[in-house]
Amino acid sequence: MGFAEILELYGANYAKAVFETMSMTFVCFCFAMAIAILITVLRVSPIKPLRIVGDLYVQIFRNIPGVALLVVVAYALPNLKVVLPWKTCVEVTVVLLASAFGSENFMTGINAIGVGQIEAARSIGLTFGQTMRKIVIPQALRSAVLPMTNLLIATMLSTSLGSQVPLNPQELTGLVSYITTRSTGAGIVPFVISALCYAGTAVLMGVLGNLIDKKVRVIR
Amino acid sequence: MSAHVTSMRDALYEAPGPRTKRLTVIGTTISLALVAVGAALIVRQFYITGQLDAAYWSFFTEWNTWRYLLEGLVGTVRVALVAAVISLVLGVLLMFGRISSFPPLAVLSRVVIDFFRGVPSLLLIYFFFLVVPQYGLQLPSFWMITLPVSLAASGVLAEVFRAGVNAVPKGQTEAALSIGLTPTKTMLRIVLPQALRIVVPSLISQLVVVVKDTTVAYVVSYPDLMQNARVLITTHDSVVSVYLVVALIYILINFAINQLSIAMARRSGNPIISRETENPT
Amino acid sequence: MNAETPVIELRHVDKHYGSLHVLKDINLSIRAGEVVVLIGPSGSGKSTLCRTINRLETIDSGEILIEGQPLPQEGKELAQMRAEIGMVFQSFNLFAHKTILDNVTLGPREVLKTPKDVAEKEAMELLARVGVDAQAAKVPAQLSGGQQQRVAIARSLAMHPKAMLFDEPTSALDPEMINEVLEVMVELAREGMTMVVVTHEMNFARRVSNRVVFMADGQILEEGAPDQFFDHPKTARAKDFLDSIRGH
Repeated sequence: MGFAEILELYGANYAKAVFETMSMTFVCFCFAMAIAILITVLRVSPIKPLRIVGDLYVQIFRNIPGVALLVVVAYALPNLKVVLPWKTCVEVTVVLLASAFGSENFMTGINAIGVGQIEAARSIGLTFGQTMRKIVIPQALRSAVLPMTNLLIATMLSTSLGSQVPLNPQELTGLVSYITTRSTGAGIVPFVISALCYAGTAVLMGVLGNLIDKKVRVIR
Repeated sequence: MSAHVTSMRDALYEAPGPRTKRLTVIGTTISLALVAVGAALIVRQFYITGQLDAAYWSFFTEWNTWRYLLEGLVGTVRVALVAAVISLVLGVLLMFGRISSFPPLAVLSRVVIDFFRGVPSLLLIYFFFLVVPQYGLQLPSFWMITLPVSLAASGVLAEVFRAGVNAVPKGQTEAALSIGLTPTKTMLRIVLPQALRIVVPSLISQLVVVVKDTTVAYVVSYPDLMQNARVLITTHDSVVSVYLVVALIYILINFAINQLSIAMARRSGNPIISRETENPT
Repeated sequence: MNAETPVIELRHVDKHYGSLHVLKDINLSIRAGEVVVLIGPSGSGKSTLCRTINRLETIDSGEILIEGQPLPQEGKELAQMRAEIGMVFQSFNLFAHKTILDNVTLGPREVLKTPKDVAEKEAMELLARVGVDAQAAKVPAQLSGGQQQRVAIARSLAMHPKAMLFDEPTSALDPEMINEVLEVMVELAREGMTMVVVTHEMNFARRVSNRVVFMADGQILEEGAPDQFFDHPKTARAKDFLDSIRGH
């Protein structure tokens, strides 16, 4: 089947799939960032139990395979009386995975600052709060732009987990399976369209991320 | 002179005075209580849904269960190792293409690298599972999972290798050229070996991604750990305990690999270059 | 506090790092306008001593008094006390993400609550005084070491400190940049700033200091006027040390 034929039959599906993938990506990324900030605050706090909880969270969700987490959320949780709609299962999985890496990125940003600046801030009379607000957080955020861009791309790629549960409308990966089972002889076209959507967006995100990074990066 | 090196998250805080010490103790006690309550609530949920019943956990005391899981793990390891080797070779080749001074090759390599970095491995698996058979080629399920996983990893590895090559001091190349080595020999005998040594921790950490990608093997019906877990689930009708145990196994394996990578990075002083740290384009 | 009260006073200060006894019964008194130079072999505890004065390092026992008041241990009181004692570090420690001007105005604006335009005007005067006003819009990474250190001095001066601590201010500088920083410090001393300087620069000590304090193994072994110390050291340890650095 040709490109034009596939688009004629499934153009609307593709439009919906692109929307599904991209909207899931951005929604999940925002939630992941919020949780990452919270987890980082825990990990950076002077209270040991909170640090342990934060570190444990990161170790669990950066080491667990996406599929393993998805099946726990979608198939194991219902047996614990926690039943979520399919799409929410995917989103929860993606958010948990991304938030762990997000926290790692923030920690890397904080570690890049150096003790010296903290001591200098103290010696001119800045309080802990002022030091965090004026010195630590701005630099951590500005150093985290490139890693966070990569995380955004990784989040988009992990929305492909949606192909493993019944989603309606499908996202871009699930759609390939859907079309191939429906139209025999569809060939390579459905795959190519989905792949180009992903790769094209990834390149775009990378370019934007680089631009932002060039503007805000802290030169050391 | 400060004799000790503290990690930044400790350096954020000063040596506490008496008031701060009191507040920290109070905060620690409260948070311990909260954590305990949280853990208790989770255990309680397990209890009231009957998930703590012996029926769901007793088969884990049988050797047969673990043997079956181990067989699955062997499948995972096979896919991971073969995919790792292929992606290493491909990654190096793609890196050479990317840095070559022949523009069409450089551009093509760049496109291929960006393609494999920008496409989910699940989609690549569908390519081998759904698309390739349509053209008459039915690959064994092992290759249907191993090839896409290695292709996806090769894109990231190409960039890791490139960062490694760039990290080799320029002086090395200059010195090699000045004693008469050709550019090719310089790359192969001086730069590449050093670059490889620099990126070893990064390569190990990328192995974690490969292991994670293998979990989609069930799509192509290849018997890996995830797949065997499903059989156990149907055999013993126990979803929660099996999935949790298997998830824990994966977490421990990947955690161990990451710790190895960190240990090697600490020993060699080289940073870990990963998808997260490298330039997106 | 009257004119007699020392600006900085350490009484029987002791400090251990684990089993290492890094400060042994330190007694030191610094009057207003005095320039005191701390010298000694590395590991002698002179940097540690300097850093205990504004509590970047803690002490195990003894007292530290600033203008007769005990050094606060935490919180707002400590921050306020620190605002009155400037510190210049060996590695400059300028705020990497801020321009030179912002580096100097941050303290006055946040701590002294100085309005922005007043703070910037004063900052530009200070930067001109140390000779780096042309770099005001740049970021620290764009400046040489000597320029960065002079900005660091301006940053401390912007807080109108009662005293300034210098922890090996020129040790991380290339030789040709050491003088530009020392010149600024000489000017400060001539203007009457109370200074505690940890340094190896003997000429500076001779020119400008009122008192040289020689430390080794965590103890103050000798103190005295610079000429008297450099020409006629009393202890054998001091003699050996001076010989070893005179070598070059």
